[in-house]
Amino acid sequence: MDILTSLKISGSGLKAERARLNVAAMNLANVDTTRTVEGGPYKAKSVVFSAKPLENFQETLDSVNARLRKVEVVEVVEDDKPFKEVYDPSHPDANDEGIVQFPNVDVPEQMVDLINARRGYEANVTAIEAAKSMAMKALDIGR
Amino acid sequence: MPINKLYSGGMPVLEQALNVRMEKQGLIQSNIANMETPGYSVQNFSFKDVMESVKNNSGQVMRTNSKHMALDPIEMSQSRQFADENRPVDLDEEMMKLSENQLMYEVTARLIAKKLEGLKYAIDEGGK
Repeated sequence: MDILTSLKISGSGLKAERARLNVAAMNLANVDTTRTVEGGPYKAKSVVFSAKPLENFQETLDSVNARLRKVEVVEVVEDDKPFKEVYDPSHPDANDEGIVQFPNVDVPEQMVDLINARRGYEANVTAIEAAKSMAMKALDIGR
Repeated sequence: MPINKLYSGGMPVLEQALNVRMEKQGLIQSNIANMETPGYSVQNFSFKDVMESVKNNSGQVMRTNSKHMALDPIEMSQSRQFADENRPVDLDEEMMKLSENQLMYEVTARLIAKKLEGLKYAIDEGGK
């Protein structure tokens, strides 16, 4: 356990939270998108986090290093909720009955996710600051 | 004379305390990074218990034969009693633990610095 390990762990947290923020931003940006490359309206996406052990630890099973976990985004999954259907016959993507399918993005839900991602990011930044300050204090011993 | 005698014996314990604090910092950071990972349960160990084992072992291990290996109390305290609680991470609690751990690390570092400062003072004055 050293300062670089701490930075690696919290750094993985920053990366994961930023990925989550990006996905929430993408969902909000595409809230009215009716055409995608895959065809059909845009589907809301969300990230899946997974706790991964750190690489190259040669410690015994009971040691602290073996228990440290970084976080990673393992996949981005699509939401299978039904699309929002709006009656608008003048819309170019309306079907024969004049119904347009809009993305299944739930705006309040995305806003909450956005705020949560920000809080998580801030918590990781605070943890990095703490580790940094500890390292500085250790350097002060030799002064 | 072993160099450790200069520090009146407390130095290895303080050093161990710094190491244990740093390890605890790693676990707290791991908890914070994984605060929204599904299935992750909070990890922790008690600093007090680890240091307690340092204290209890120091100077109390009796050797029946002088050829027996000496047990280093500091080395002996390497095993950690992990508290495996099956619950998700509570951010408030982790942030509290983070600042407490940081503060105590800094206190320990300051103590070591002061000890060395005292030693330097004694050397300086003795040389006059």
